[in-house]
Amino acid sequence: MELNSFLLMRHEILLFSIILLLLIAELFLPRNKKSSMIHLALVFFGIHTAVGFLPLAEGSLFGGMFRSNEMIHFFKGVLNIGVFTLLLQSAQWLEKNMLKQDRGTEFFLLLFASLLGMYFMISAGDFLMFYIGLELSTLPVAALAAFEIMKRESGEAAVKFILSAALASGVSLFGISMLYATNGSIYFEDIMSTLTATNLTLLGFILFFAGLAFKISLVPFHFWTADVYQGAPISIASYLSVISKGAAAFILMILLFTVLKPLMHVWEPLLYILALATMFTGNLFALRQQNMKRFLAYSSIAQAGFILLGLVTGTQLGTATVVYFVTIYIFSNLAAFGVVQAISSQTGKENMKDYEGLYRTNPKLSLVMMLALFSLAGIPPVAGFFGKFFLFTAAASKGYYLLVFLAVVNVTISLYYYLLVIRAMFLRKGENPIPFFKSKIYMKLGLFIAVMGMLALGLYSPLYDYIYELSAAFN
Amino acid sequence: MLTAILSGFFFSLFLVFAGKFFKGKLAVLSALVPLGLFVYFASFIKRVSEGEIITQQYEWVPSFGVNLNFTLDGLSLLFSLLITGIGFLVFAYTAEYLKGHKYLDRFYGYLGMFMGAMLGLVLSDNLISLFVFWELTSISSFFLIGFNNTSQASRRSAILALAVTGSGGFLFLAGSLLLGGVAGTYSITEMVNLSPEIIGSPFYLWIVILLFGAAFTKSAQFPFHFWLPGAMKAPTPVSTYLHSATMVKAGIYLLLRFTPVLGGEEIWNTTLIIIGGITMFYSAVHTLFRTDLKGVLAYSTISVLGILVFLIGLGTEYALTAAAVYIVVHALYKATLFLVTGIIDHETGTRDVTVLSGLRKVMMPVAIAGFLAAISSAGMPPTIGFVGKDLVYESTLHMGDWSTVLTILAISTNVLVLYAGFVAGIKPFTGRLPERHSKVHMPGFLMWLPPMILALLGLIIGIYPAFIDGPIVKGVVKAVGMAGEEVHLKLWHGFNFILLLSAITLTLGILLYFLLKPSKKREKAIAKFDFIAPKELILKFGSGVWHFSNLWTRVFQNGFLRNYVSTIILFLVVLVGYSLFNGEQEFYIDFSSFSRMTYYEMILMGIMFLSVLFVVGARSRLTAVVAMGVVGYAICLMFVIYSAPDLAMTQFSIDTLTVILFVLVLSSLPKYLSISDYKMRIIDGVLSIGFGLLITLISLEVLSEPVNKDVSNFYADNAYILAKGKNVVNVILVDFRGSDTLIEISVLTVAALGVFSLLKLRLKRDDRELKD
Repeated sequence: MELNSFLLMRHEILLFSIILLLLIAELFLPRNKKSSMIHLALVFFGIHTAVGFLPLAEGSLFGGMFRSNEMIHFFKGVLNIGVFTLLLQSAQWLEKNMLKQDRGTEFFLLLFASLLGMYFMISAGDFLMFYIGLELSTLPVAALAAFEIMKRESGEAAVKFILSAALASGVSLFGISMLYATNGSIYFEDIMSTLTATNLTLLGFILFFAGLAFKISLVPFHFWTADVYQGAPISIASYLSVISKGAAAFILMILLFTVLKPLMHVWEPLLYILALATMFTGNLFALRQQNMKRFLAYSSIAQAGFILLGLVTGTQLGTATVVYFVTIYIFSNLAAFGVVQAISSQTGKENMKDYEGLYRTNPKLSLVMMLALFSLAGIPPVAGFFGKFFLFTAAASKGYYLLVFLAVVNVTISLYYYLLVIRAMFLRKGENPIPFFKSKIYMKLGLFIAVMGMLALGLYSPLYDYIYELSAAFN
Repeated sequence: MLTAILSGFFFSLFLVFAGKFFKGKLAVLSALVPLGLFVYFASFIKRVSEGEIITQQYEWVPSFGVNLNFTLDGLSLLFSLLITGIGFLVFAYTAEYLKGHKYLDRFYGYLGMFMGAMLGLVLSDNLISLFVFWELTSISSFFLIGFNNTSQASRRSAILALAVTGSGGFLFLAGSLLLGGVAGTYSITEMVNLSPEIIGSPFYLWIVILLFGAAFTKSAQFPFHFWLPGAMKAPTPVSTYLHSATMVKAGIYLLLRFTPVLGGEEIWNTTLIIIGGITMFYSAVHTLFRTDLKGVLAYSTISVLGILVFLIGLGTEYALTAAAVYIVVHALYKATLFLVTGIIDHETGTRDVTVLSGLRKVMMPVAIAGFLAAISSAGMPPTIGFVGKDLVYESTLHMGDWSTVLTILAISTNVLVLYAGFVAGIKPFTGRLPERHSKVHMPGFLMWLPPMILALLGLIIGIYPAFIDGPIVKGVVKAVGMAGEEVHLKLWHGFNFILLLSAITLTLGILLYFLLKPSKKREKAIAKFDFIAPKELILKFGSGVWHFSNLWTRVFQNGFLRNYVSTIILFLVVLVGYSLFNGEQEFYIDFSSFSRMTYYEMILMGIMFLSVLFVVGARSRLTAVVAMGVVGYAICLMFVIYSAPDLAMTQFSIDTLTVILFVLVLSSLPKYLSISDYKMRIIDGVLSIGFGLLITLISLEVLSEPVNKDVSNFYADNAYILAKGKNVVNVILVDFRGSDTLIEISVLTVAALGVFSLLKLRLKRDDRELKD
């Protein structure tokens, strides 16, 4: 193997080096200089994000265990921006709460390790690499969920997360072994040609599917979502709902559209039902939430249902619309969580009631939140509308009119609860509204990136065309 | 045209930065924006009336057929002129009405945004961009209604209006997707040519239902009309502009726009006639029971919207001409009445019509404007209202079998609309001026001139209907697919049957006005029936959904991990069970391949079974763990019986270790709590038995499945040759996968160290609350 070909793993190598560098820096930095670790990590990751956009060749490594193409490369870039934005938004919280406990660097190490797992997961060329990636991406998050060790909820969140995750990944591994038993290989390339819908294969597929369903929090694997989001630090809730879900949805799409394509007649009805169940459950639960993190948790469950809508199609149009939707979703949710983070790290308030009258005191934050919620609700002209519209078109083009109609009903339900927040911010006066405050420059930048992402994706259509071109790789 | 549409948005964006300078006297300058646009659109009148259709195309997302295509035909032109013309007057009026308001710049910003969105709506030829602008009007309306957000009622109305019109918007989106799928294009112009195919498609009915849903919610048709009276909490310029002259007519616009595409079918016409008929009569009756001036105007607006839907439903050239004229008529007189109401409210501080009278003595010009608007709404000659009402009767009379019923319906509605117009336009100005209003003075000219202009305009084009006939109305009629040759607007048709009907209407209406004074008592009486009003029913439905979601959440998302896990397991059992029996081959277990059971196997089975039962019934964790250990040992004995002593040894040690570890950990846990009740146990029991059965079936099934044995064969063949070991399992562990084992051991050691240090960690007394 040429040394050059290792550069195919550029994302992974770079990120791994950053982890090592941070680890070393943490060891040698004197205690009173620890706050510079945050800047250091941000700068490193910023460079990594920027470098990530340089073009990368297509190909595979280790006999096909690891592969990369332009679509995968593009999506890693999206994940990078997402994580970078998230880090910017978390900087203040880290500085304020975590430095005291000397835990600033840990946060970055764990988060980056999890991201590294996601890289491997979406670049996987066989089930083993996939599984390792899945685990590597999950385990650090459990530690991160428990990050605020002085809070009881944080610990509870971590326990719930790790137990649910263990169940899901165990089941998933069981499924993989069954797929191996019937096909005699764990390589995607080989399985693709031998896969037939025997009883055992179906079993294997369903059990395997459970693992990813957990990550995307599809009904009925969604229960952990709300409890964990509420208990975990906001950054981690945001990470789970944005990066983790995005990456899992992406790899699920790749697997369904390539390796598991022969089972399409099985997963099509399955996804159909799960899409409906997920949308309705997420939306109905979200209706009555008061805590902003719980609220966003359910809203993100409902959004996962919409992703399935695009997956049902199994076409290039489906691929492109799902990737487009997920990308938009990442930016919209980052903006929403960013505002929650900004307010929480300033005042510690996380309930919808506290947001009453926010527009009078902090108009800019309210506007960002409004744009984000409109985007999540799919109200034009913010990008979220196009995301949903394209998904609906993709589903409609395959004749799923009923599904699209029910999805539209769900959009309407969701409109209602997104409006509740907007009403609280813009119309209610509130007895003691959050006073005016100025966010730190990192937070501002983080929100700015998210908003720009939302607007650019919606108003600048060549981005979609670009994604559509890339998606030819998986069909 | 794109510039024209965007200018509204640019204007509001501009205000975000330069708003501070526009709060004082300069505010009136903002009226230049709509004025300029009005002149711009007016310059097209000649070209459009000659039959030219002006189009402009910009690509947006071409791969999805979503483009910014703008078309200016007669219909769009009429609406554009209304939007910009009335916009101009409202912008000017606002400068005085909200003078010195803290957030005046924001208000103008929303107004500008609304104007841009509304123009985009009526000019878009692409369904999707039409939808985008459609939702934007709802949003800007939301902010404008909520502008007076000091009162709870205002906030409630704003959210209600947005919920109703916003949901309607999504119906529109669903309809557009369906329509786009059937027609293969989102361009409305192209759809007109494809009309027969669309009508013939199996989805026609659904398309019509969805579009009706959108139009009826936006244009406040029964039973979705209730948001409009609520929306009257907005400042008066907003009510004038959005909720009477322009936005609520977007639904009407949509229906007119799609008449050439979807119209002409029975379902289309009948539904519109019925819904329009109910709306126009129902809300006209409601005006009798209102004492708030804006309430009266709101219901009479709904009534007129009903008349418009009704006319579109009739669908003849007469009816469509009548609709076109009525849009103009209504915009002119209703905007006047609203602006007049705004003046009264502004100067006297009340809109209660029972206490207002004699104001002509202090504000004559306003009284004149009110009077002109009132007689236009009544349809008296020589106003344009008269022309409009004539056309309505003309079209109902041509409806064959149903003409009598429809005409009587139209007459009674018009009688009530006349009453409403008189109450709003004449009642406050006539009679004796009460003492407390004697100090009231004229508002600035910016406020009284706009209604005056509108009222005079109604009079002038009433006398010379040709002003709008050729240039505008004909264009609309042509745009909706009619020839536009049949009808000509005239004020005077000579003495005929229609004139008689007009006379009857006027007489009855004026009689009604003099006999029935607005009263609080009637208003209270009708409030008793609110519980069966559509508003309450829909709100109840909404709170029903809310309660359902509450219940649903409490049942499923109750915070107990064990419930979550059992739901997941239940789901897996169902799904896996389903796929097990519904795969491509039959579910099949080869019983013949099983060996016979011996008596010591049976004894072992019995032991296992008993200890499992013991585990379930155990009262302490320790006993449960020990009993589990017994099950493990029994399995080891099974291995011994099947002559695999090495495997048995491994299993023995693992089992022992597990039990010890368990005991170590359990000893530092709090006492065993009995947290599950009897019902819970039964459910869990059923679930576990189901899961166990399923796994058993899977294991049995696996035995009869063709399984790939490459790997096991490889190790079996090579264990001795390559590694010189006779025990294949051991060879794999220590030789073939030696480094794996090494790493695994290290990981286990690290984990064990971790557990050990955790065990040592005794919680300090002052950290106790963390644990509790």
